[in-house]
Amino acid sequence: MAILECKDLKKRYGPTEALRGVSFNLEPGRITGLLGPNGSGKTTFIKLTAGLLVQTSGMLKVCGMEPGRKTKALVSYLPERLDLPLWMKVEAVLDYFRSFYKDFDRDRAADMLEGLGVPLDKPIRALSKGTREKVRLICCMCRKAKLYLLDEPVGGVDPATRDFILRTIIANFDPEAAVLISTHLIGDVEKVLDDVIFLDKGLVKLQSSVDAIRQERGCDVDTLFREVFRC
Amino acid sequence: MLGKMLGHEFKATGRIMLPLLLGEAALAVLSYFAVRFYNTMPLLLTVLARIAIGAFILASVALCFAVLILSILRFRDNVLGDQGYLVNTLPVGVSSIILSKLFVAVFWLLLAAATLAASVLLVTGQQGFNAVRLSVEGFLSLTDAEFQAVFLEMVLEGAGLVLLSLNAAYLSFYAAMAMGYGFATHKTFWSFVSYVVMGMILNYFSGTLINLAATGWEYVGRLDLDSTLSTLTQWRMAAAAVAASQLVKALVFYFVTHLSLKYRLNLE
Amino acid sequence: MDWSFRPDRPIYIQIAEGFRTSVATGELQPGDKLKSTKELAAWAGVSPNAMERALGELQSEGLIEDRGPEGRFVAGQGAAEDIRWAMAAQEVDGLVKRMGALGFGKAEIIRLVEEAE
Repeated sequence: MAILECKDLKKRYGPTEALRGVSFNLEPGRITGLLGPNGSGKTTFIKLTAGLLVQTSGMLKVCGMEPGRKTKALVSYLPERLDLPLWMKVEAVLDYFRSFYKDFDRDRAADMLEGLGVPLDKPIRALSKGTREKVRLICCMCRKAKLYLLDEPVGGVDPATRDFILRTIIANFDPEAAVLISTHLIGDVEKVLDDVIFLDKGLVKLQSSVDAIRQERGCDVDTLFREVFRC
Repeated sequence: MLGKMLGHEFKATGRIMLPLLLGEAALAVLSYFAVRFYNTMPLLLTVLARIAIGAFILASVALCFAVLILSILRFRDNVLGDQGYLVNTLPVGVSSIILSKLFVAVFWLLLAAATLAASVLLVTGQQGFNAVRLSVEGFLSLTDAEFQAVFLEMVLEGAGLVLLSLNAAYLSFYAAMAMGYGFATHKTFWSFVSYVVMGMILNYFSGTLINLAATGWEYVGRLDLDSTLSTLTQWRMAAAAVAASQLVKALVFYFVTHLSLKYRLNLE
Repeated sequence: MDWSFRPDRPIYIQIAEGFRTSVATGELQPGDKLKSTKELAAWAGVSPNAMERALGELQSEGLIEDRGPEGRFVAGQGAAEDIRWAMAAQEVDGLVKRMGALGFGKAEIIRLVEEAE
């Protein structure tokens, strides 16, 4: 069964139509990039899938169910913004995740944090921006979810952190789960992707495997992206 | 689910509320000593004593506002702010989110009221304590068991009404914010507008019930201590009317909050 | 292994090539145990699917042995040698073609090779 299915998905905010009829499926065992310029509807799509928004029309299903309480237990969402309370200690954050998510592997998360040298008894406030994001990423990836939604995971971080983030995503790969990474900076992320979906002004412009693009067009996704979205 | 949310809510809010309440209690203790030993103090210490008592009064007033404001801000920041990304994607029902915030907010308000009462009683010292003791003793000796039972019922029902009204009040704030924050810009402005508009609509439609409550309270105002039986019926009518009107308000505000969080959630 | 991938070919093909080169140069010895697919993918910074596809190709070529629960191993000496010679032949064919386009015959190429550093 497809992990995510959407058909003719539309979302309107007042006068603006953020999504104008998006249709695609995500199969388990694939890492997919949702690529598009700012304002193309990537974040809207991810929020719909995460259950933070309700669509104006169209079908959206996660593991055969409409987004709701049950799907939230199966979806691990990494938002663009940091959503951790700044006053909470790192170990308390781990306890919080374990408390609500049955599939959260607290020990593995603690090990990873210790490996990074992150003190568990410090509040989030006391950590640097990059470290905070690593903590949040670890909380996201140390779950055994069916769908991982990563919204701009490598935007605005230094190269070392970016490498860590990508390596963590790879190391957490689960052939029974799907990973959706949304970004407008392709760069090094491309090597990690199996498939890409180009989103332009709320519509799917292209859907292909990375291998097919390289084989058939003789260029990488980054180059194709610049071509397709040239102003 | 609700239990888990309640636990986390207490932990998160307690770290601010408990120090506040302990601070108030500490100032009360300080003021108690300041009052008690004022006459036997050296001049320098009387200055400090007056500062302590002044601080206690200020803190007591501030506490009333602080408890309310903190609970409102808690809802706003945790559900409608950046933390909303975390809270609204938890595998819990929207009802758990709303009710956990509501019950904990009401709890702190009641605890703060109790702390305030105890503090005032402590600082007014022997006189305050005696005044209370005399009132209670006088009441018990001048009235018969039947009246006391009626009075007890009225007190309990009154407490229930206060509890219900507190829930309705907090829900009105939550609903206003949930509505207001659904707008893209000027969220605070729209929250105020929502609050006023919802209040006006509810008062208009619950007019019948309010009138009932008003007439009910009128009867209560003309309470005649010697004829408790008829007064009791009047009180019950009034209480029922107020309860019904507050319940309707609470339910309406709850549903507005619930639906807004489900369909109008608009995190940045 | 090569970390800088060219943009004009699928990643898994380049991973396989890099692997073959490592075997040919002796960087990877026959009998060396390979890490798990996920570990290799993380190390190379690529999708595990791409790594798995590359390993699958190398396996069907006979360069890698899959011993099930024991893991994957670089194949015996014979296969490595074959690869070495095959890559060398490819290089030389390419060289002859390119030099031919510049107008050099085989005898001249051999003389240039002997004079080269």
